[in-house]
Amino acid sequence: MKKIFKYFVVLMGGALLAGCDLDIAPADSLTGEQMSASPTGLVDILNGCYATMKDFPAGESGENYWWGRQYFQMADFASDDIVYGQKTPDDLNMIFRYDERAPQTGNFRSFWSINYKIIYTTNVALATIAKKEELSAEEQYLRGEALLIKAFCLHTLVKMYAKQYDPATAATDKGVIIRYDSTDAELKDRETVAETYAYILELLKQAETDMTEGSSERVNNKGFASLAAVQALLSRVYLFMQDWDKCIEYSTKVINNNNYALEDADSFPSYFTETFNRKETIWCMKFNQIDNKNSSAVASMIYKPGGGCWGEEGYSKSLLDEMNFSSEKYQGVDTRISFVCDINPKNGLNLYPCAKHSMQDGIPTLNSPVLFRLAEMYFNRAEANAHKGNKAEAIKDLNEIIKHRMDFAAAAAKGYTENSYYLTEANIKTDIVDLVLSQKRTEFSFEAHRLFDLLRNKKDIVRNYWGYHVDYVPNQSPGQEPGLSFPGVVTKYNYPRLVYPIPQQEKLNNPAVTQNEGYEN
Amino acid sequence: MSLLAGPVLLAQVTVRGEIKSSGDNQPLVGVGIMEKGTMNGVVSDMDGKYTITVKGPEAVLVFSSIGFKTDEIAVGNQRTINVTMQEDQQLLDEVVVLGYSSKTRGEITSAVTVVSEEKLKDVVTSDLGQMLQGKVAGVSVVNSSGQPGSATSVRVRGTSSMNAPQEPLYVVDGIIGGSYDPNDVETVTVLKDAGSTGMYGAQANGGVIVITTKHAKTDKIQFNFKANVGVAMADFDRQKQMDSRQLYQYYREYYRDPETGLVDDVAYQMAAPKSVMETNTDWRGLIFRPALVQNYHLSLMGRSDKNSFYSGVSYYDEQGSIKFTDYKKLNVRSNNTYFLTKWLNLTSNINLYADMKNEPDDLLIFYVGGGIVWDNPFDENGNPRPFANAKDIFSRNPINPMIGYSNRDKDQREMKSYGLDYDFVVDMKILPWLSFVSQTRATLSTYVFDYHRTADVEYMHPGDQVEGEQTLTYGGISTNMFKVDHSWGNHSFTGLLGYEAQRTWNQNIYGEGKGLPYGLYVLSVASTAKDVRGTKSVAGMQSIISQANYNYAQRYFLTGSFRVDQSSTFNRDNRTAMFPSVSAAWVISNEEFFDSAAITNLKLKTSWGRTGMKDIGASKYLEMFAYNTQYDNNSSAVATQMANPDLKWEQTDQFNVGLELGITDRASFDVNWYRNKTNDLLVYRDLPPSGGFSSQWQNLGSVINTGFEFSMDVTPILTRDFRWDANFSISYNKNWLTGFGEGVVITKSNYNGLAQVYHDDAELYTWYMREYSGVDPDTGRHQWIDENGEKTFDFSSARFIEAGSPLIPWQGGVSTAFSWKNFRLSSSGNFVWGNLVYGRRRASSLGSWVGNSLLPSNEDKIWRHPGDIATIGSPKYVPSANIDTGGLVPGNYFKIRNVTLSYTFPKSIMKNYGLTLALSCDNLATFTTVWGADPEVAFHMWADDVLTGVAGQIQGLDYRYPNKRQYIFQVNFTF
Repeated sequence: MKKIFKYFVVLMGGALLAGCDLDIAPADSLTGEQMSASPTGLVDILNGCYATMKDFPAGESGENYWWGRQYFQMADFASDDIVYGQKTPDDLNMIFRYDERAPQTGNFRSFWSINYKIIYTTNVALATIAKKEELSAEEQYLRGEALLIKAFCLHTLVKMYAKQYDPATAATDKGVIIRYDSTDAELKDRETVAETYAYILELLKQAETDMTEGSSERVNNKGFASLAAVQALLSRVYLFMQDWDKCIEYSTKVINNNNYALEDADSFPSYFTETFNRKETIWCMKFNQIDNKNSSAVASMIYKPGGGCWGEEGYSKSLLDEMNFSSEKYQGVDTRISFVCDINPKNGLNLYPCAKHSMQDGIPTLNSPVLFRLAEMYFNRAEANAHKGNKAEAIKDLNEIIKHRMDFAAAAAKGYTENSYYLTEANIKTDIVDLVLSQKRTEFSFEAHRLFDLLRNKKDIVRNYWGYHVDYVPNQSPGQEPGLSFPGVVTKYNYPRLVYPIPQQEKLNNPAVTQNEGYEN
Repeated sequence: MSLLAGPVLLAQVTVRGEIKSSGDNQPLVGVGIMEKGTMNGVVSDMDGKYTITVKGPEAVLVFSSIGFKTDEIAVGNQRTINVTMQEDQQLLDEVVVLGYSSKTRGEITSAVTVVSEEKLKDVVTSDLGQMLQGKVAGVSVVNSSGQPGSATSVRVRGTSSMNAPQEPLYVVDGIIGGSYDPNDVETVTVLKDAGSTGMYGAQANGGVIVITTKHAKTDKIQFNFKANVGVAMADFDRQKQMDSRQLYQYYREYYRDPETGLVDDVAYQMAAPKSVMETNTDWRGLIFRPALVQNYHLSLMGRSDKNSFYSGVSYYDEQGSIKFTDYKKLNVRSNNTYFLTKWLNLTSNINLYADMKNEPDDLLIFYVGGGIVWDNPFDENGNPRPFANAKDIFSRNPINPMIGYSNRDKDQREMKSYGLDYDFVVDMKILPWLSFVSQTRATLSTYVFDYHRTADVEYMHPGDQVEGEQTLTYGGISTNMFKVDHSWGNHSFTGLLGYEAQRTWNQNIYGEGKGLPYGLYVLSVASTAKDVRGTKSVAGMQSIISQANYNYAQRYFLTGSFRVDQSSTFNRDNRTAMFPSVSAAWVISNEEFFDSAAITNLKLKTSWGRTGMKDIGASKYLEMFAYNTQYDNNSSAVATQMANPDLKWEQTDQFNVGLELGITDRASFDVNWYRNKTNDLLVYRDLPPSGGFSSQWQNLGSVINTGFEFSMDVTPILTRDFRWDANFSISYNKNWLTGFGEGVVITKSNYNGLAQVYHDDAELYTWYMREYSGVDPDTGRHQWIDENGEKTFDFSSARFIEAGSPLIPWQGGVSTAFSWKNFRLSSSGNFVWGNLVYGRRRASSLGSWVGNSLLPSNEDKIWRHPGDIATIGSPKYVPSANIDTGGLVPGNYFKIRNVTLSYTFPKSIMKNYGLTLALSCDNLATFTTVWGADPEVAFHMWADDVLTGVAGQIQGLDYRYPNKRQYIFQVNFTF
């Protein structure tokens, strides 16, 4: 009996001990307080911003909702560059078909949310830095990086979810919600476009100072933002703001930076398979094999079928024409044509897949998407000069690109001289701005530029080719391409639904926010 | 064996006799024979024989045995009294296990349903939930997959939470948690109201299911062998596939000009030449098969003065109706109780199991389900050919699922789990009225997942892949309590007071890689893209439990319980919660004034109590920067969760009132009405994303569930040879939200854009979608209703409306059994009525060119010419995204779950052996309004849907493993 009693006491006591400690911390996370105490906390939070751009978002059931997919699709699929070749209930349908867009659409919501998550994270990093009394060179550099990422996300948001900057109306047009610091979570409306851009500039100027004065070893990794990325974004933002002189100033700063150079005709065709190693890249999202997004990758919709890709979209006919795709003179000479894959017939459409987001390490769905590369600076400067009427300056920059993209040896073999590819003031028949846009389209298709290039310049979107952006029935629609009067072909630049809707989730939980024109709340 | 020898008197008379049971006319062992008004008594022996010496002819013998009606016979001049005992259907003395304590059925004061072994095991399955389907009023069981080894989802009395789990708490042999094999189960008790679940406090919001495994009841050593062997086939129900010719006719409509009504056959034949009809691939036939189902169970039990034992071994082996899928389970149980002294019993139970499952690739069903009959998956040599660059393929996806399917090694997904539960129970009588009970369970389980795919397999993944995962879970729970049991006069009191602690550790490791050499498939051989993940977690809880029961003269019953729980789930300040309950019953039929021979039981009962829910996962109140990712191989912290230090328990206040009525031994009725209010709902609430977080766990609002349950068991016919039993149950549940506050409207939408809305007075999971208005007979265009209530052809201007809920209001079950001599024919079924489910209209809209080969339902009609009343409009105008009320269908169904015919060989042939043969069919027929593979809808289609809060979407056959119909032959042998 005594023995048994002893045993009970042990049993009971053991149970009490085991149950006592109920403070259990997660094994894979830290709290904000712990982050501040961690010696690497600041760097880790900043790295988290980049990781958020490349990862499947936590708490979303759709793998298609990761940031990079929307960054490219919401820009390019809405433009005149890409054929919608297979009708799908996927949210990407609403990018092509403006009238089916709604505040409920998931991809518009997720992209909005992830951008703001990154902005919040940069604010946490900035708050951590703000607590320090004196900054090391590294910390100052990191502050610049945080400011740049914040500015980049804000600009990404404002170009998608608001009307393009128009000096005449920017002071009254609604921009986006600005979150000034990590405690700023109040329910509020969007600032104006002018205020949004002013704030972006403010962030970028501080970033430029910080990254000039500070220093970090990260500068050698193109997966991280750098001083040149700050200046490249300044060039882009000034271009959007139509501040031509500032745009030229910042474009020139980057062009004159010896760390970067244009690829040549022999290296450009393989450029997109290792963007992070190339001299032309200013900033890319670094993907490793374990980051492969497989059938949710940017390539999954535009690359040829198989290996995780559906091959449902392709180069539009108007883009191919602009690229001189069918011209014997350019085939095998213009390296940009090398990204056009073999024809992939689908639903009676001749789809030409695109290889720009594929084949890093030989994997169809893997690449490290470029956010800024040097060629854009030439085009920004050219466009600014074109608007200023400096034709010669503009043409000089365009020719610089041509020089680096044409395989003149191949041209010579065909009997064409190098000079026959260059632009001269004499042989230009179109408007100089149109010429810049046409050249840029050839260079930057599938790289998230075209839609904004058109809208900024108040150019209508003309999709005069067959595809599911119009009501298309395979093999029934007449052989000729649809005319300009066919419903859905021409969309005015100021058609309200070209601006993405403020997501319903924001509107429902933040009633102060103003919805964009053309959408019910 | 004489219990107590009486004084020897001259007038003594010795009576002998034999006792048989009325059911099978077999000798009854262990019947108590008492001389009325004395302490003199004996029990019947192995052959049902007894000898008793009574004080004289005036003595009256009382024959009693559990499960039989007590008989009283005056001795008179008889010296031999043979008795045939009548089975007692009321079973008021039957012991009902309630978890921490047991009561006789007569003492119960709350809503409790007991399912006996016999009722439970008509269907052959490895899952207990399927066995309960339709058998307990107020309990809904959804079995949404026919995949071997798949689990059901069980809901007790409706749904009381938006985002927190709803599964009931399982208690095995008195201890929370645990493992068991259904073959070893003796009874299942479902605790439905807080009168009984209150004892489980924070874990009991979803109700409690108490499982008791077998133990020996007689001294006889009993051996039982049961074998089930059968064949299972996929049940596609109303979802049929078109053949080549039908599909060709169907898509011809795609080329009809809605204005002229003419079909452009030239264009059609350019897109799909008539020659496509030469191929007629039976995609289902390629992967489905009649599958073998086997279950063998061997058990041995017996008891003596010193110990009682039960051992059971079960082997379950189910092939999937999809080739290369299967499920095997081996379970071993050993229950041992040692009666060490008069005051000390020790119980040592152990249960061991091994589960092995081969799953199909989740995409196999998708691609086969969407297979186009015109596509030939094989080349001229009969080998699977790649679709990726084939030009003659109509399938939307450039994928031939048959490649991965051609050889088992190409695409394999294997899951194994092994586990051990060891229970140690000490039951010590300290004083005649006081005992101490200590029950402890140690649990260890491991889960192993292996996956590999070779590079040539065509799914939407590039290249090959190997994945491996292992999870180890271990922990324990210990309950130590003092129990009191005392009676004086007409008063009787029982009670308990104790302390319980539980803690579970979990660790997980996962690896993956690519670049496999030919023929090798383990992680080590991967050459690229290697990734590793792993984490650890701990969860703990401690509780004080108490209960008191009082009854007066078996007429008035009062029970109260009080539990205090502390859990690691919440912040220090919100960690503790209290869960009281009270219940009472008045047994009117035991009142002296109540005198009715017909009404043997009339009881009024009521209860009030509180339960809670905490299982939302660890640390949901903390601010979190998660380190489970990297950027270019650098440590990265991602802000994944915003702090909410105020997060606390979701609690339900439950009220129940019920009435039990028993009429002789032929009929019993039980009716209950309840009203449960769940407060401080744990809501994964949307935030304005511009603040940096899309959602957060918060406590918000309440949900009320109210309804009634009615069940009846009747035996309309009972003769010597023939017996008819019938059971029927029906329940109704109504559900609405309250306390969200004015103007608070929460909308949740899932990946597919399917949305549901939450606000005051709305039902949980209320559909929120665009209003559909049918096909316009004049133009063939689909129509919707716009903001002004006008019809419109423009989908995007259609208004959103609230349109019912997938929650089930009416449901019930019916079962019946006829016994004639040694034959028995039984059947059971269940029904659901009044809910609205969303079924994707994939097959019934011509929205996209050759999407799949599924045959539209009989109710569908294609629009061809102006004036046609149709459900399928002209394809020209179908929007791609078409989630609207047109996709909602009533989820009504009635299913015949099981029909069994059995024959028990008579004792006259079998002597001391027992042998029963049975033939049965599970899932015999379904009558339903739902077009689709199966009307049973899993509440949450994907795991993440629990968080998005969207429930009730039917998975088309193209996404889910179809249910099955099976035919089983059973042999049950006992000696």
